[in-house]
Amino acid sequence: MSEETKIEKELNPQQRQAAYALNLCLVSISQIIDYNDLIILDQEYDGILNNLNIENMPKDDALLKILKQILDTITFFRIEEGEKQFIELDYQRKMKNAIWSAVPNLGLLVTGGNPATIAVSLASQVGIGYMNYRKRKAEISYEKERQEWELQRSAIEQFNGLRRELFDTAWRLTEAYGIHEEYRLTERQISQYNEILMDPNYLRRYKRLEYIKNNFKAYPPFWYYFGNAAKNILSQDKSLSEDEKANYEEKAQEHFEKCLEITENNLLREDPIEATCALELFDIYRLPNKNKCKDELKKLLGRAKKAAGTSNDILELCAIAYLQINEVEEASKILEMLVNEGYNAEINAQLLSEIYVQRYLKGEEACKTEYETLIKMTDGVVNSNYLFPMPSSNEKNTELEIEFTCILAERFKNMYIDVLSRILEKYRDLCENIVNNPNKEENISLNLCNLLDNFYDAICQLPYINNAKRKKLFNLIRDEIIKFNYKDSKKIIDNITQKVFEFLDQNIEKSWSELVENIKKIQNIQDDENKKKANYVKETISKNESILIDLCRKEEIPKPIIEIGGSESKGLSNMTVRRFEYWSDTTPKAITMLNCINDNKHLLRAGKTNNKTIMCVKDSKAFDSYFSNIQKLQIATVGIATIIPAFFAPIQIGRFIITAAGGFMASIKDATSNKNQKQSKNDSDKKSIIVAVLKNNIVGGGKDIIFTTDGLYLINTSDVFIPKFEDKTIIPYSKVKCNKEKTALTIENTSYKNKNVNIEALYNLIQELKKVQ
Amino acid sequence: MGYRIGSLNCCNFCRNGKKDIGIFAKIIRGEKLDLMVFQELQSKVALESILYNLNCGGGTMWAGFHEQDSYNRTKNDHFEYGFIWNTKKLCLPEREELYGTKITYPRIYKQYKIDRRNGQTDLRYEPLFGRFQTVSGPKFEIRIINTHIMFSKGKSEVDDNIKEIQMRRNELDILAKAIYAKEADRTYKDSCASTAFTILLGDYNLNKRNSGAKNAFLDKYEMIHISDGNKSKTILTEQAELTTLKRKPTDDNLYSNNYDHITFDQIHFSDVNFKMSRINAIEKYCNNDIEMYREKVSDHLPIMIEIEFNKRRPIL
Repeated sequence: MSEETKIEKELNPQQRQAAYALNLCLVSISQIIDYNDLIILDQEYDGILNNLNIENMPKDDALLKILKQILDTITFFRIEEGEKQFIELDYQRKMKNAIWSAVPNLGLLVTGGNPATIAVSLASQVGIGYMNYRKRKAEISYEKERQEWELQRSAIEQFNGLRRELFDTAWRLTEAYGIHEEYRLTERQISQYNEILMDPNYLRRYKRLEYIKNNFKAYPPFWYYFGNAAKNILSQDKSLSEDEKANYEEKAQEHFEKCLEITENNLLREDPIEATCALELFDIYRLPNKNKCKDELKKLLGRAKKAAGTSNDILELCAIAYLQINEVEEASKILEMLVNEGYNAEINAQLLSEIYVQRYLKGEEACKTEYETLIKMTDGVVNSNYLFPMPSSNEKNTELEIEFTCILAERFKNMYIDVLSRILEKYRDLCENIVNNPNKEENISLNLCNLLDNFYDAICQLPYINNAKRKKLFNLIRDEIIKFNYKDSKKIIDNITQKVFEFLDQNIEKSWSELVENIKKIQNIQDDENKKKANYVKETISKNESILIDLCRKEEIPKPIIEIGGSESKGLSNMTVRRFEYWSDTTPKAITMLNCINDNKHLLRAGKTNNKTIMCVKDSKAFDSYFSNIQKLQIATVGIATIIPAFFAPIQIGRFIITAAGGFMASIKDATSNKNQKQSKNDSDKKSIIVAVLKNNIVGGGKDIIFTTDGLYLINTSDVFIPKFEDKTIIPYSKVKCNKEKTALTIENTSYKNKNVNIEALYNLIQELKKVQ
Repeated sequence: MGYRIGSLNCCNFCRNGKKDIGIFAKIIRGEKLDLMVFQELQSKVALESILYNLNCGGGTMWAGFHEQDSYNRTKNDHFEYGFIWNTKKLCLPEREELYGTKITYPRIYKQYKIDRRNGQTDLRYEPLFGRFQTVSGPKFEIRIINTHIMFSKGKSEVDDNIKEIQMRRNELDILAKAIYAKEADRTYKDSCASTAFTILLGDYNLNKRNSGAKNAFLDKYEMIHISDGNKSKTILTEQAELTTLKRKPTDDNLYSNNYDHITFDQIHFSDVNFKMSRINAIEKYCNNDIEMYREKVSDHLPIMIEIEFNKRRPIL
């Protein structure tokens, strides 16, 4: 028997409990002081101090009194729920971005296959909230962020006083209980330990912990951090030899196992350290050379889940871990709970929806009902359009995967436009304030420069803007500043926003096209490598969405709320339209055409839950939303509700005229008329009025058809911001032909196919519209 | 959950006066004061009457302390002070000693240093010094130096060369440097509080420049810097609203001077949130009847400071 175990065995259970409980409190309050951070104060309160099982504490009045005082003091200084929410959301976003690469190929899993590649360990990459924040704090060098959460001076004084009292009480009790000296942790030992845990160099951290390990024989969390340091050396130090790697892996396993072995049952009601230790050990056990059987892995996860208690961040990691060992049912239970609790609801619902779809495809009919229940449960919380699509016919896995990814991409595109337009609008307003300032001219130019600085910074933070593009953007803005004219000072923001918009439109096209190409390349999703590619695309989209949301927070603009096919263009109704012309309602021709379209309800193939193709009829929300992007950008960049054709290059003809939001009507004008002339009411009968749009919601392929009173237009769905018109003229309805099999339309020289549309019915509709025309 | 401290010069509140105890009690309750500090409370009975009213005849929610300054003077030339506090929020420091519990009561502050070379003399009226500790939550200590700076030279021995206003300023100087600075840093054995906040307040018979008063300004004594090794203090006097009633007030001109102030160390108080204000007692508790207020309460209006120890919580 080793010396260590001999000493441990000398203590009776009651003594051991007492020692552990006291050490936990001592370390917890020391960490509050040493980290000097309100978030950590909160974590220690929830995780340790308010989490102790009183049954296992020594029954001593003085001890209970001091603990109560500590809890009261923490309660007094705690931050409000609202304040720490952004930390929580920040963490959730990090988790969301990382999750795709951690989730194994669900299709393979459900059908009984074994994913060959080991998915990324979320426990190491993101960690639980408790660890994640500490790790981040050790890495933060930005002073402002440190100061934001610092404890105030009197709080530190209070805790110092309480710590002294607690130490005195603890020492007295360890003597009274006859606990061996080696179990006592002194103030100095704890301070040194806390300092080591903040060391960002994992190798050094490991060595320092190794040196003091004998003092912490009876303190389980030490062994977790010891193992964690060893594990992190593997990821931090790329120059290790194979032997060294194996050695640290071995050490990590040994220390984690020791931590779990000496963790007492029920000392804490919920134990984040025990749970994360189990999850990190799980990662090691999953390595092929460990040869651990599934039951052992399952047992470990069971322990993690129990120790997690009600901590949703740990339970989420457990769910992903269950998926990694093909325990789909266990994972589903947890995911369902998380969705209902609103924790990272969207991504968890997406995972759950994919599980149900895969199981349905495997033959479990009941999963379709589960899927529908999921939609009902998430009503109002998660947009069902963003769930993994339930197949309607014989769609294969790969097709579903592509469809799902396209939905996410489309959403991201809409978010991008929304955020961009809000930023442009914000800076337009700020510029107007400066320019309308009655102060001296010098103030205007200085303030404008500062404003444009901030504007440049904001635009640079958008996704897809690399260094080369930033330089070009900078030159663009600088050139405008040089041309600045005091007499015509309002023009500067018009010019700049217009140029910025054009610049973005041209320059992100390439990055966007690459994304679309990557989606198109997804093939045979059963193959792990292909699944990885698909996950990579989803991860990219997720990360870019997070960048947009962060940008909204920094610029203090509302977050984008986007729906496919809906019109959550809330920004519009609040935006003041500076000049508009209110057009009287549609012509009789338009009304008749509208009726025809409305009557043709069987145009779209029945049974769609995901709105792959929709008919957006004039004055409907979907119709407004379709054109709203253009309207948003126009108002944001130009300030007026009429459009300048420059944005529509290479369109040769036509322009949209948009009225006040809510009374939307759009029209296209013929090339022969003067482009720059504003339309007057008398001209209304010469205009073509748009009555509907047959919109293809899938990014990366297909075309939209715009129905007008004079004919139709074909537009590429994959265009970035503004639909670019391909043809020079409106195509009259008479020129539309249908093939014999009724599977495709021929519009001028282009073929139109859409499996979600009944081509025959569409052709009949066009014939009816031709009669009206 | 902040703490509200009020201060009022009662204008010679004697035993046989015409004061209305009810209004005093209303002010304390109405403004939700946790501690009320009185100057010119010239009778212990007066304080006890207010307490009796606050405690509704019985009860112990409110406690009080009364003391008179003890400087060498005739029976008629002295000031008396009082404290009234809410025992549910504040208490006096206590300490377990061998023979029972020792309570530290407020006391007249007698021992302090003066610099006679600079023309400083003993304070005409020594302040009442009291320490109060918070009852629930983290332990904080509020130390109050309740002062009434001399108004005129009077009959005692003072240097005729130094004008009266300057003498008042000198007194403030002594209060700040000799008493405040010392008490702010001091540690007491009977204190279970880790942090103490010291406030000097009362009737200074001096005005702030920006109050709109006509004379008797604090001038450079509004901000007193003290350097002590590597620690420094910036002792700031605040509260610029007029607090004394004119002898013959008109409709739009009720007040004459801004004599009542609160003084604190700006550096130390940067760790808390606080707000100061004048209590518009005439409007709130006397139906805008200024003469009634003068007769039944005082020719001074009370002032208040509200302190929130958790800096992240705003005072609304």
